[in-house]
Amino acid sequence: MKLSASEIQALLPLFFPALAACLLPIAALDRDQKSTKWIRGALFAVALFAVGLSFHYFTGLWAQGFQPSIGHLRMDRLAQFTGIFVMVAAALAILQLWDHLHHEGWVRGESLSLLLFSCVGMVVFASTSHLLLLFLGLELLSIPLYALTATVRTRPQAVEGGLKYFLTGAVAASCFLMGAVLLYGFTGSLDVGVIGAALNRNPEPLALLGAALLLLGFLFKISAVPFHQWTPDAYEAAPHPIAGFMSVATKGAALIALLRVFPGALSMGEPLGAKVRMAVAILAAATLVLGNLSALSQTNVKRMLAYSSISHAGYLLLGLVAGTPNAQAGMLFYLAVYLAMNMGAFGLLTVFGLVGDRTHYDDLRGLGWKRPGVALAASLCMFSLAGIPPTAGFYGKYMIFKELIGTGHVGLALLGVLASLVSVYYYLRVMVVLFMEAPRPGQAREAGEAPAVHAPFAGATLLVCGFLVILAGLIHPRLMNDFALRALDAFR
Amino acid sequence: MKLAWLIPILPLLGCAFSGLLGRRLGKLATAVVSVGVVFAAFLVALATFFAMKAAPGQRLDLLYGTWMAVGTPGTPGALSVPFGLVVDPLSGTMMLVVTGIGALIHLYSVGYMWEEEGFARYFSYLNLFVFFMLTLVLGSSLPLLFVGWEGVGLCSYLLIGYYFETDYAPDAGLKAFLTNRVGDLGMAVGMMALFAHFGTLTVGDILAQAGHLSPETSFGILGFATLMLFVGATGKSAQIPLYVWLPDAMAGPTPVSALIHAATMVTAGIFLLCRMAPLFLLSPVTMNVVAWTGAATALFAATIGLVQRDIKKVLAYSTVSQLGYMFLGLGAAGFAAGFFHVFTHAWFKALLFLGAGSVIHALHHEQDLFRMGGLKDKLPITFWTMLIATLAIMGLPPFSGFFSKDEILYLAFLKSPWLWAIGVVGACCTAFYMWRLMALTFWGEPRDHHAFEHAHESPWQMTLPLGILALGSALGGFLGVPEAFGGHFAIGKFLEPALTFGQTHGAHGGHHAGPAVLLAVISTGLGLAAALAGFFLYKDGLARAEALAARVPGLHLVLLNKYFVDEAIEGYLLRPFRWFGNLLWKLGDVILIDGVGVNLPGALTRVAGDFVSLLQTGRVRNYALGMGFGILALAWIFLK
Repeated sequence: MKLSASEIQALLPLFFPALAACLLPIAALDRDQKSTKWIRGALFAVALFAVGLSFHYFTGLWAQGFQPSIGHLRMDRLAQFTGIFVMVAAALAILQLWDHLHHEGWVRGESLSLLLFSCVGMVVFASTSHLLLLFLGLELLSIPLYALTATVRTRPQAVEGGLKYFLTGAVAASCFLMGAVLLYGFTGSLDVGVIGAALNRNPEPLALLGAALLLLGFLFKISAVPFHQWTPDAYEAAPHPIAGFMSVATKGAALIALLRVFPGALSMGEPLGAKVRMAVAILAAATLVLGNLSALSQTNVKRMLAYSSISHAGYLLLGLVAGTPNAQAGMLFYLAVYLAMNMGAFGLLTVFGLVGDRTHYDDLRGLGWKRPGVALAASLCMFSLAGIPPTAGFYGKYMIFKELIGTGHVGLALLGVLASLVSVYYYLRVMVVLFMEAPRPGQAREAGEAPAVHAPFAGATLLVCGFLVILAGLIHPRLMNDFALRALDAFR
Repeated sequence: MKLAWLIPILPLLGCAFSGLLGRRLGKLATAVVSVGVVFAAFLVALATFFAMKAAPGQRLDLLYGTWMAVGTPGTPGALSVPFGLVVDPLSGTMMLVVTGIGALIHLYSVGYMWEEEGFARYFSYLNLFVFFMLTLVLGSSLPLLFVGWEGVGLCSYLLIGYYFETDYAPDAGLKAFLTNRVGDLGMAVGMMALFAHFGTLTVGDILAQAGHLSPETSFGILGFATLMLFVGATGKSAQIPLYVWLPDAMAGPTPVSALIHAATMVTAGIFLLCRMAPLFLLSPVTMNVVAWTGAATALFAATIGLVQRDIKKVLAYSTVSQLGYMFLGLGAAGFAAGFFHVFTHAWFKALLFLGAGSVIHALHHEQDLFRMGGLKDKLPITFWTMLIATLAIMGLPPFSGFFSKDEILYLAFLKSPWLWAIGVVGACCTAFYMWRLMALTFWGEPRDHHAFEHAHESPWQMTLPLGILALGSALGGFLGVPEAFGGHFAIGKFLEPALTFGQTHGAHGGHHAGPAVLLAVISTGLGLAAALAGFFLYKDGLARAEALAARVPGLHLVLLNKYFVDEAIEGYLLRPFRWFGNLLWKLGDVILIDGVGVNLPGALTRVAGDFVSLLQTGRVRNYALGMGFGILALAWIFLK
């Protein structure tokens, strides 16, 4: 098989992460962890380098305005946006993972390999409208994540969480596949564009059911209610950086894929589009209410962040409901902001070396004064998650709500505002325990005996996230026009 | 004069220096820098002043950029405020008074405050005060003037409450601040009214537009705007009804009293009226209000001053009363005369306060007149300089107060003989309480022998300013000898372009009508009589005065308690307000807003949260069930 130059360019960004993912386990065949720190460092460096190369190629394509494709894999602007988004998240996760796995005492190369495979799967998932490729991407991103969730496999809770994720994920994947089969059976095509046109001409009930099942596959990855219940368990089980990565990259890739497949292709015609929009609107509302209310009553910060990521799925889906180009761009902008603020929020747990089940609010008491800089950066991320100006999180929500009101969905916008009002409580509570409450006596003694937590890379990522949250807030009009809106102009 | 911006900036730098580094670098460095910057500002101001005199039109417009710009210029509602300074005869004279007398007070403070805690803090505030006052005086637009206006309010709060460990000083500071806020509200409303009418807030532009208008025949928008500005002025310049803060402001260190009373804060109101003089001339209603308020305040405060025991309180009521004279002059269209009185008053009132400070300093913080006495030979410099100031304030020719006060009374007579009569009675009271003060302090037997034994003349940093101020008090009047006495009212001629802003209707009336000399003789003669009465009543102690007071116990009690104004405000104004505030707090805020409005929804939301978390059972089969419901819902939506 001979590839043209443009086909090579389309593959290159994915080639290096995939290659590194294949090579890393070979180097990591070291079951008793006898490898020196030097080798471990090299493994992480290779992974980081592969992610960096991929980032480099994606940004190169973006800068040239070149949109190659190979078969049904289209490296258009939206796919490039996804690539950049996923690779940045992966880089932050890898840096945090180095510190976190050391705290856990569990440094293996296989985590990196799985992470990289998942990255490749995400980009594939978000850059095609062919049902087979979509399924391939979905599985490629999911299966490594099941394993990653159970990374620290000596801990029962980790295995339990991974298994729960796997079981529910298998249900969702089979639904997706069933939907694809139904659609293919009735329309005779695997291309979503063709399917959409056929469905709008002739809305067969079983084919419509197929579309509904297909939608479920996406909503599961986005963790929208009622396909969300795996989320808190899986996130709690996973290492903090992996939880952060899942909440950001998986959700982002699935949302962008949804954006491409449903409003972009399936719902061009009115009857089907209205149904999809209706379904998304109802589920988004349920997601907002349930996610925020559940987050409110958590005592575990990590579970709170899991519910927070569910509620953010609600905000992001609202962008799809509005459906205007500005709303979709606002969704992409909010995704990018969400990347920074959520990686920062999960990074907070890593920075203070809170492993296992020591991730309750009480375990954070008074820690802010130990490393005020990073705690401040994490606080900025929390402010941004709560949507308080002038942080970028405010502008993201603002753009989405504005478009919602513009398209007549005032009730949904109001619900979104109320939901973010509720969320202020649990986000700010993190800052309250960090800075305003004294450590418990036992905890203080424990901290006095234990060696100081060493987390240079996680600390650095946190500072970067805090900085980005402010910066993106300051230059949001430019990000919106030069980045988010241009990501959409390719497939429109 | 490119360097005019240095005039306000120098004290600001001094403030930053004393505030940030003063404690580390010690008292001497603080003193040298703080006093130095104000003297330097005075020198720059002097150079600027002469540059202004040489400039065409006797006016320097210094523009440093645009401060605020809203809307498209030229369209209705557009606002553009320049960032600039204006030096003309009015602001030029004022800036010389502020920096000149301010510098002397700074120098005096070095001696007075040397032993006090928080030396650097004191000088930091003092420099900041001068900075804001200069901003007020030199600002070319009302918003910039307002910045200085608010700033001196803030600084007065800080300085009056300087002894913040005591019970009374913070309260007095708060009282000054809050009372001023009432006035500030008027000022702000006045500015809005002016903007609504003229579409600009630049002083020059407003006055230029006002030049094309003819005086209002009834109470209109101009009347309203000027009246509101006057409300602001009553706050800063302590006129009825907002005068109550000034006597309490004596809680601050004595040099601060001198600074507030003589050179800076209280003259701000007069300055504002002079600045906007052409506008006030367009509203006869406001002018009447100004004149009558001034006259009433002049008499009212002077009568209270007759019986006060605290030496600084006497001087405080004296200031309120003298400010009343100034407003009386302004209200009688004698803007130049009123401002001339600001000028002369700055000298002799600063001198009186600094002299009183010297006495208090010598007696180790004794302020009670009834415990002084016989200090004439102990404090010779203080005595002789205060004597000059007393002669000046009672208006004895040829001391400075005579010329300015006489000009005001003469113009008041032209407006209404009743105003003149009130002014003369007030002047008699002035002469009486000043000679009472002098007699109780310097003559008679010492009533506190212990303090008397230890009394000593103050150091040179304190006596030098006294000497300079005495010179000014004695001779300052010759800058403006009225025409009735063979002079040319030079200061009036000099100020005229700034006050009239090139308009035809003059800022003060004609000088050829009326029995000017006769009136002056009458008022001076009555004043002399009152002075003698005051002197002989108190020269040999308190016995005669007490006998007199016992014959009119009711009047004495009313005067001693300052007409019970504070009590009336407390009872009829503050208590209902406090009751209403309590109601809003306990019922409105605690129960309705905090309870029903905030905590109840919060609690309900938490309960809802606890309820929905029950859905998260931790069992995978329930999760799958949930997904099953989801599939059904999706199918229903799609197949519907």
